[in-house]
Amino acid sequence: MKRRDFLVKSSAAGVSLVALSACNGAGSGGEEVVTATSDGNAGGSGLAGTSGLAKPAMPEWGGPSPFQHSVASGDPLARQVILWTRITAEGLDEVPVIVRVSRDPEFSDVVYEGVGYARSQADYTVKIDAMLPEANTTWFYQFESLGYFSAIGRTKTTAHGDQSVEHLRLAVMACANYSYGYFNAYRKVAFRRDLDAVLFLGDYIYEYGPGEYGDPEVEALRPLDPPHGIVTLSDYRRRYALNRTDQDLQECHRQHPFICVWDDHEFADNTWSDGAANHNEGEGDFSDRKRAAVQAYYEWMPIRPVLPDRQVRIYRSFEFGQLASLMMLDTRLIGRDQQTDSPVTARDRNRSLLGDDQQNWLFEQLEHSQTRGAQWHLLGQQVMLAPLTLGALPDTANLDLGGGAQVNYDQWDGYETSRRALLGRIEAMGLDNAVVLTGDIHSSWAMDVSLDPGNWFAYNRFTGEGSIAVEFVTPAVSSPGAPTKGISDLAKAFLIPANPHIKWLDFYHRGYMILDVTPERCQADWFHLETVSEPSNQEHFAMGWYTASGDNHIQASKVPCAPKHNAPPLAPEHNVQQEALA
Amino acid sequence: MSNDRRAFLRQLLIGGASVSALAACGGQGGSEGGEDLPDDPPKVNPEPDEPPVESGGVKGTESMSFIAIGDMGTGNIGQYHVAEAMRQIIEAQGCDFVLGAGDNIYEDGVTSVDDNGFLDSFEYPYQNLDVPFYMCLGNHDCASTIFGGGSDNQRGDYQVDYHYSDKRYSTKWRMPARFYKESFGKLAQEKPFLDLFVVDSNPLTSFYIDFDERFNWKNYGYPQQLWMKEAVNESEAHWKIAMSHVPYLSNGKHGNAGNLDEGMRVIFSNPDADGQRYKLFLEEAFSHKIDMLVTGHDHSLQWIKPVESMGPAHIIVSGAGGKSDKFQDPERNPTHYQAENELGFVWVHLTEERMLLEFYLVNEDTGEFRLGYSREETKPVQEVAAPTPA
Ligand SMILES: [Fe+2]
Ligand SMILES: [Fe+2]
Repeated sequence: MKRRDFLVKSSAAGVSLVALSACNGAGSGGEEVVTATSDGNAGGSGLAGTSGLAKPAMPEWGGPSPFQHSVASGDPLARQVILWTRITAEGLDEVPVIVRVSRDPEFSDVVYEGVGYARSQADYTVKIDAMLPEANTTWFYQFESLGYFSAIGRTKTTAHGDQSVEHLRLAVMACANYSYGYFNAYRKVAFRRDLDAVLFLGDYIYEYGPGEYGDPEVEALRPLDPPHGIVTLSDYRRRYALNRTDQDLQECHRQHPFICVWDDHEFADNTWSDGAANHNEGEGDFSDRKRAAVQAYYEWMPIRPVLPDRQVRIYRSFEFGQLASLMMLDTRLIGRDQQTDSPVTARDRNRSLLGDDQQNWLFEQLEHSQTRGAQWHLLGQQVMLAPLTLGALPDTANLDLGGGAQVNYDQWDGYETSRRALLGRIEAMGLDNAVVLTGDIHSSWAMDVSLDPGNWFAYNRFTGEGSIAVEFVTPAVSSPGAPTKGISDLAKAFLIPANPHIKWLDFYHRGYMILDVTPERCQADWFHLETVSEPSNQEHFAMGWYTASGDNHIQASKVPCAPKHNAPPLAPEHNVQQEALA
Repeated sequence: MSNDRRAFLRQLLIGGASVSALAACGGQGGSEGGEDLPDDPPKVNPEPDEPPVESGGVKGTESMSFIAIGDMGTGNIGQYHVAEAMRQIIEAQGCDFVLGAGDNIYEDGVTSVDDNGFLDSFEYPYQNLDVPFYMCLGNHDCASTIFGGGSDNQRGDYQVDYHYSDKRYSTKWRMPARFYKESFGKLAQEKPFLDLFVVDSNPLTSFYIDFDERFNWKNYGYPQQLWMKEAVNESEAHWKIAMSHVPYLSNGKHGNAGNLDEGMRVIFSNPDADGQRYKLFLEEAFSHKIDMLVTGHDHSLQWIKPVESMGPAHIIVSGAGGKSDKFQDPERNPTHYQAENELGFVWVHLTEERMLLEFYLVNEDTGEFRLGYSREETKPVQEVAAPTPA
């Protein structure tokens, strides 16, 4: 499509079809997607796609650049992506912000222009759901406001569901505690030119106050803001703002679209739908806290609301051509019954981790993904699906034997009925190539997923026979695992024999996972950092585990997957437009 | 394959999509829609394809009545007494067809299409009733022991074959496939007055594992689930009623799907015996779409009030057609009415707007019967306007 045609079309769409956004589930990715703006409540509203955009009247501003928190993008679809920024301009409200999207970092081929407004009610954050003319394409974008240009961002639309895709690479990250370490992982991921997106599986912020959960030496250099545990809307906003002043995180957002879900620490430790372990009555009503946390999340994260009036729903899906479907789940908040510490309650048939609505949605998505012939079915979620026991035993459903002594009832182990429902569905569907991606636990794991891993007749630990899916767990960006490598090795030496489906684990290192997907296999490569106690550029490839298409169990790889050839350039550091103004 | 039979099969299907859904179940040797039956089928009886009621071409169906029975196939005197009570109600109040909710032939089904069980447990007891019986498979129909463990699903195929047999005693027996849809009556624009959806629940919930791979969840349960979902979604009928053997909810000893046979399960081998996957099957296929769900398996009569997870559907357990039993927990699910330790059946009368249910109790020894309960309700599922965008 010619640029002019596209701009005209999107202009018409931008104004008249805003109302349609309500009908527009994330992940549809089809031609019919015409939503041009994000919802006003979601953190800034925008009118978008106006051709020959009449520049909105800018208020007077004599201060420094208002783009203190840089830019971000997220929730890419085939023709849409969320573009994010924030305006820091003391005393101003309702500040117009223009965004331009171009094929090249020089902005010689602009395909989209839109306007949003930074408003106090959304903490001056601006989100614009840009409509873009091509799927599976890298784009560069830049905001302009108050006489300044933002840094140049880079993002990528996904392939249409029916497009063939040969190679997909995703970074998978979780658990970024500001005061526990430097965000070296974000920096390393930022420089990977060949990523299609970054999946963030939760714990993007932590709710603690100073001295509660941090490395004292790091915390001295990276003080928390606000300097106390966060409870109110303003607290949560300030904590996101603090994280977003981090240069490594800014760079990662600037270079890649993020697909995010929350876990507990975006609220409070071990959250469930109606409370949290780290919430007490002195901190007020949990529902108020939850509302504040959800609002701040939508303001600060480049996420598209699935239902504009029901932002507590973040489970949603994406399509990466014929190669993969991605279902992002909320195992934390929307349907979770309270945690238990009893193996009996864990098997209560009325307890749920996902809630009925989300579970139904997930089963429909799996069916859709299978029917449309997607090669891989990726589930991005928070807590470990495969059991973790002190000694796996058979778990005959009718005897309720329990499968051995489970150790963490905050994960799927505490919600046996939900786990059986999901695995039972995968089994019944004969669904091959389900890959579960997990965060939460500050460590690296590669596992087979079987209905009954402790039962020799159901699962063969040597051949992987009886496994119906695989699970890869990403380590933390900075939150701690085992305090020393020795303890980590000890735990590993004990847990792997006790849990036949667990093939590899590392409790010690921080880092991230690169998920490399081709029609033939899906491999997770773990990259571990030398340190998070100081800024560092050092990482090493720890291990790779892959599942060959149709195998549904994992095998080791001593070498990481090769990067994509001819990856597009990173967004330049130089802000040419801004320099021209100076 | 004869043209008559083809035409009959076509009638069972609901357009192209269902045909493809059936094709997806192919190669499992089951007889859904009969596609897998031998090339040399028994000659089709001329009568059975006629819809049971044709209420005049122009006017359309104004009302229909049916009787729901279950767990009836004992061949004992009790079954005869229930049959006689049914005959009198049919004569007095009318009845277009009977729903047989499974356990059609105790204790372990039939082993051929000529099996005497068809005569002893069906044809003789009901020989004075001249209405078609739409039948559903129960665990005892798919069992090889008197315990009804349900591990011999292949036996159910003979009950399908009997539908097509030209040697059968009468033409009453209707089971065109192990799971199926049947339309009744006509309204404006050729829309059926009523669609009946019949589930084969035994392979989904049997006590013991059937090692015949054709009947596992992957080859049978899930394809059946997809077929049923699509059949219900595409149905244009005014009334939609589903029938299955194993309960969705029940106050009897078998209990609620998801936790079936609690306490008994320790001696079962099938991990699906608790009915967790079966529960989701029923909810995904029927929730908020059907007006009534009829099951058997527990040998009592229950009218369970609608529950959130199934939407407005009324839930009927009618499993006292030949055996009676006591409740395990009468409070487990709130009811309009429930009766234990007595035989009986449910008579249902539907108009476009309303449904009337009458519960009849029959004395097993004397055959005396009485109306136990009667209640009228408006049609549960209201006509929805246009489908809302996803
Ligand atoms: Fe029975
Ligand atoms: Fe039964």
